[in-house]
Amino acid sequence: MSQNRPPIGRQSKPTFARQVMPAVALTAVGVGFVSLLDGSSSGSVGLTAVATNPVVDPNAPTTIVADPNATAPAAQPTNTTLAPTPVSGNSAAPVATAAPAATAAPATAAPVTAAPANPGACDGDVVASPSAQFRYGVIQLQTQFTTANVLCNVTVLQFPNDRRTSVQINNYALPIYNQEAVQNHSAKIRAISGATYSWQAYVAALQAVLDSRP
Amino acid sequence: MPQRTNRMPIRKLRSPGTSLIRDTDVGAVIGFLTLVVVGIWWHHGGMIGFGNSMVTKMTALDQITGLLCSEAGLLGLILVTRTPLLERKYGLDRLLNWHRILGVAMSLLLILHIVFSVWAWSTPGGVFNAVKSLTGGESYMALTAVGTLIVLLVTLSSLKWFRNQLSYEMWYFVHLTVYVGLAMSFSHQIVLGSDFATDKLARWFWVGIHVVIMLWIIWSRWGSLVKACTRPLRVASVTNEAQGVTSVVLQGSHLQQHRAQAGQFYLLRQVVRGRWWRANPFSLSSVPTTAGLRFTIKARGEASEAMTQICVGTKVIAEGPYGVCTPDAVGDKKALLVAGGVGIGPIVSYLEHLKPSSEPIVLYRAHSNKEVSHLEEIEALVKERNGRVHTLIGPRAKLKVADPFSPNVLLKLIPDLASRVVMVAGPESMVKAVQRGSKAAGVPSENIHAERAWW
Repeated sequence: MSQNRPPIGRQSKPTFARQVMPAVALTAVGVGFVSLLDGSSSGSVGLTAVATNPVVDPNAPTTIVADPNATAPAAQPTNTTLAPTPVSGNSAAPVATAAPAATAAPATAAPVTAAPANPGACDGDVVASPSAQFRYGVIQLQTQFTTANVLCNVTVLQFPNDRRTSVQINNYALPIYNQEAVQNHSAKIRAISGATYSWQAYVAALQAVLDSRP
Repeated sequence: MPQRTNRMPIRKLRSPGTSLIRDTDVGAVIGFLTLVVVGIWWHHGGMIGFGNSMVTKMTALDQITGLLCSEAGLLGLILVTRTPLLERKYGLDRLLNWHRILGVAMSLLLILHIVFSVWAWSTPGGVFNAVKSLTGGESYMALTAVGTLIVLLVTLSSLKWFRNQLSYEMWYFVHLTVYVGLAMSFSHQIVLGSDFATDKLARWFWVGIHVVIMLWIIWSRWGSLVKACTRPLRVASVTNEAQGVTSVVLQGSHLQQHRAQAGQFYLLRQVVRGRWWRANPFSLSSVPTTAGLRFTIKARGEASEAMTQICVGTKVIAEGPYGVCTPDAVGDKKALLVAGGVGIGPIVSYLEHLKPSSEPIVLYRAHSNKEVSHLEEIEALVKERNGRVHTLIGPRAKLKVADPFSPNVLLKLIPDLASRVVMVAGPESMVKAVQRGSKAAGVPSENIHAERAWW
């Protein structure tokens, strides 16, 4: 059964060109197709962005004290932008883009107020969380504390936005998580069904910041 | 020989056309598909994932195993389309064998895909949560989980041990559910798979290739069945050749359009209540002509027994012909034909086709004299071609030599064996013994021809 068998009839010995041409043609088509693929797709950006961000490491969250009066760096509120309603008089526009550029310079990102418990006092340290990685990408938060070291503001710096479903889920769930975190002053947040993965990463990121605080 | 029943002159059926496919073409297509699949993965950052955390590593691995699993599945499906271009080049038995290998490869990749997916999803929620989302939490994953189970069950049922526990029909219908399983798992690739959910061009390519192969299956696999159904043949005569061995001649006006050659086989389906849904392979036992197709059948299993008891006039749907083990292989060389039991059928049809220059030697192995059929026919055919017949009859224990197909015995009987083309038909153990023996006696392996022993 495994023996060499001639095909039905007699095939003449193929010329070299006949043997090589299909392979060359199909390889060219294949390479052309792959190079046509969406190169700047957020899929690959998502993965490269990950490379610049450390995974959650509770021992080393970056602490940045930002100028609360700084204006938000060119944050275009597109459909991928999380837009929690600003409640305080803080002038900053809602900032939360998932573009890696934004995370590269979190120091300049102005905190956005999400239902602060005590608007008057929310002017302490601004701390960026480490990037919490999960199956669909990365969640990174920026937190602000009162001078009494109480969590008073959370914004999302980075969240997975490479697919429509992720954007839908996160646009819905993340503002609620922000609000709940600020209300509870902790990472004790209830998961929203359908957004469990975001919740897990969100809690991991927030907890890492809280653990790093004195 | 079949009787002439209609006014048309009897002629040999035209030989099936020679396939235009070359080995290099098949290699090019497989290479192309692999290039594109790996390219899609690479382009979306597949390799970059390895430089990072466990999650991205596992994600990258779960994507590439998933993609390759699909590729193996698609290639496996192409092999069972029975496309004439492929069939005439490689033969149905080899295509089915490759189909089996690809099926196992697909399932191994599928298992890896599952392991890596669970691993990737288990950060940070744990394995239990990962399994929960992958069997229903994520969109379309409930559907996919069921589809995966079906695919794995089908592969399991095709493993030798399980396959032997099942009847052919049971196995066949379990096997058909694989279409459902594959369709159910397709949705998650498009919705959840990072390579397709986020890249329109890749998505269209993937959907396109699935649609093309689906149409290919419908057209080639199911279309040929429909065509055979619209052109049924009828049993013209049933002859008892020996104990338990019957030859059946099928006729029909549609035979004019058939292209078949000695040594090929058809999948026959009796149109009788309770049997119309099962097709079984039977070899031609004479050169196919417009006057009829003759099959020599030994009652060995339930299906072949039913075929030996068929009545004259019964409608039979014949799909085919298939097989590439034809007398063309002999060419201008001399031939050694080895028949075991009912394997004599295809050997008779080869003989009719051979030139006198082939000086054919026929080795006919049978367990008892009662089993021997077509012997006079063979002797006459061999005599015309200056050949000779050796019969080897009796149970193995009573033979004079322990292994009748050992190289020494073969060479003593046939001194010019090494220069002959060997064609074997019979039970698998005998086919293997002949292949081993003649190879050791100096026959190059490209001159040894055997097709899987059909009923």
